[in-house]
Amino acid sequence: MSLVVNDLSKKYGEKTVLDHLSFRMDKPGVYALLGTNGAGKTTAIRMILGMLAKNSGEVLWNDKPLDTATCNVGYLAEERGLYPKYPLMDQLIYFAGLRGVSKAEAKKRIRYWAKRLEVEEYLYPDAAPAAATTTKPAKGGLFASGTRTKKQKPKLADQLSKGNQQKIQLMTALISDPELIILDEPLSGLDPVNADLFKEIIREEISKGKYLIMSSHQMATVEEFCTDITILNHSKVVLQGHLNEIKKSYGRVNLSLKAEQDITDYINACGIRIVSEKEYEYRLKVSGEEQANELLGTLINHKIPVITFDLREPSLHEIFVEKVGGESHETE
Amino acid sequence: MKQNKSQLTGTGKVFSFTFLQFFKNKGNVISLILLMVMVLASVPLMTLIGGGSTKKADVSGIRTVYYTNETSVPLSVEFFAYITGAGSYYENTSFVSDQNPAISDLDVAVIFSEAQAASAQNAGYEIRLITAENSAVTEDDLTALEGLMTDVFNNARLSALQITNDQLNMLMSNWNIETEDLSDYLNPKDENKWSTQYFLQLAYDIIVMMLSIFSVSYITRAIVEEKSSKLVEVLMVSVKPLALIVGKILAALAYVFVMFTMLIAGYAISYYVTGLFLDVSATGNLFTQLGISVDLFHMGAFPILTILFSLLLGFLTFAIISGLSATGCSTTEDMQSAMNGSTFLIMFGYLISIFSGSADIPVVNRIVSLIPILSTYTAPVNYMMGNIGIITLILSWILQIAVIVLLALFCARIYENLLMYRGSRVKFSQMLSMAKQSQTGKEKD
Repeated sequence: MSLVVNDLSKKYGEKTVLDHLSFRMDKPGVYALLGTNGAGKTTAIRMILGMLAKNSGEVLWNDKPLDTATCNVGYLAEERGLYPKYPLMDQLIYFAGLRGVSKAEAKKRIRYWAKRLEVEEYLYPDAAPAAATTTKPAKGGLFASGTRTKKQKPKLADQLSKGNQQKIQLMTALISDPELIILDEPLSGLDPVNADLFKEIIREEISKGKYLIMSSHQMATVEEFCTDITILNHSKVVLQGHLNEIKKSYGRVNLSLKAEQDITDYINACGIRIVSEKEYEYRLKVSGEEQANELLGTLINHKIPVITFDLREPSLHEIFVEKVGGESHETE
Repeated sequence: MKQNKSQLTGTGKVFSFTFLQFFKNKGNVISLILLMVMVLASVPLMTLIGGGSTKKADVSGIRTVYYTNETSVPLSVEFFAYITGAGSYYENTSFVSDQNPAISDLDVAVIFSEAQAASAQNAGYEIRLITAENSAVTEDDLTALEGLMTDVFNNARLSALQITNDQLNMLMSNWNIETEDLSDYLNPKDENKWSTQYFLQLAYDIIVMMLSIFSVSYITRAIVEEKSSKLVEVLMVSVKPLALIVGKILAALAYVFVMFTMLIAGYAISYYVTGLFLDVSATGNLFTQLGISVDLFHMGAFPILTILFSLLLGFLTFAIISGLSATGCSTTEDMQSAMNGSTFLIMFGYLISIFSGSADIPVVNRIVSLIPILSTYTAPVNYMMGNIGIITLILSWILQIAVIVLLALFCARIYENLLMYRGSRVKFSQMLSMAKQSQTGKEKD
């Protein structure tokens, strides 16, 4: 299987909102679409899914134009939504039905995902722990004995917290067991516990051989999952390729160094820029391995004990900031 | 954009989901219950307010009527025999001439006498009905007997004068007086036809208007709710915009039709149950009194199909317009203003059709039967009243279908462009220019 995005462009009047985007996925994994707000990520995703008309370009899935009617796609949109006043179960069965999943099969999958995402109590209120159910005195007044359990009503979407709503939305995206999954900012607004749960599920989907496209502002998350990236800025592609190769191309320029005394003079003598310093623990920006080795040699020659010496490639965050300039303030 | 069959894939699922949710919606359930209570209560209330009484029995409960004739007018014994014949209301009642009867609780004594008067000019006759102190005779039976005895005595008086039936008819027939201009005198109108057309037009217009206004409300709410809940983007992965809007419109259509069918069934049940206890003939005769009868409709399968098909076309026209209007909204706050435009069109068509129906001018009848939106109201009525022929009716339908198809295509295009629109309500003029450009829209990214 393969996904090919070839020369996608979109204009509104004279304004270009996506300018010749191309990339391909030849094997399962996660492809990251990065960029500042308004860079064109969501437009690209909508065009890939055929929701927006293209001014140019094509999207191929297994060498044929991608059609959501034939390709099983799961989509978690950036603008999350559920019918606020409809029962959650009805909504999930409806979404599954629209993706061609039978009602019986949908119920099985909902059961699985409800457990996996820890939202069973909202979908199966009667199966909730006994302590959580409401009890009333039995009818019959003075002559009655015992209590009767009040039947719990299934929750409506607007009765759930934002995080739980997001879990239900992830269920709608995954319920058809899609081969191509598109997640637009999947972790935004989640607490650390739920974010870890989502990451775990994403890892599971990768291990099942799924193709994922992910848009995110959380660079650490992208680095955790993605093998290939595209960075968009003002509708244009500013950087694209295999993440490790991109990093290699920057060289090992981040040096973390910890000494037992102040070594600022030696660092300055080597012409190295100090990024930060705290209690003899330095984060330095070097031009390459030679400059780092020169500093290390100097310290050894002066018999200064070095506790840690860690030379690394730049992080994705740094690369992103460098590529999109001052507009990176919203990234994490 | 070319609309093909695949654009409609998923319509059935959208339809069934939306239809079910209409029934599960608490607000809809409460509205339906309230309407049903009103409908169920309407027949007994109308009957009671209209002076209806308890239902008359099939036969009189009076056992014996003892009559005494103290006048000089001879009563007809044959007449009593006639009114007590098998199958008549008085088949179980005996009419006996007796001056000193012993009246039991189920008997009535009737005395025909000459009235005591101060002068000869005021002299007349008197009929007195006397019941036992513990009488079990009902008010209805007494009222009916009063009428019968009056008829008996009048009949006897006329027979005494040897007046024939023809002479009687000539004496009693109605007459009226009218002032008119020469034009009306030379071209007399069929007043009966005019009143039938007017009331038929009114009744049909009210049905179309109510169906359309209900539908507009449901369609607008369904579309705006979906847009405001930001679900559209996820739905569009699975269904095309045309399928989404068609599914919703059909669901609203089905819901409104089911709702009206339930209300009509409720009315029928109320009429039947009320009829067991009260005299509902006045309510039943309401339409007849208005000049509308089943005979006038020439009701057969074809006229019924004509009405249903015309209703369907009218509904679709207004439904698509309301869908279009709702598409321009992003929030539920805009919903009312979205409904206003559609409601205005519905009321416009309604009023024009009432005026044209009352004017009853042949050329006007033909023109309004061919103009879409107006023809929704007027074409089937004009056809049934014989103002337009079948060819004009079919032409009217073709024009309506063409407008519906064009509106649907326009709506689908606008819907697609505006599905992900967030902002203030889009006006119709903006939609038109959007359809021309086809590629415009406001994107959030």
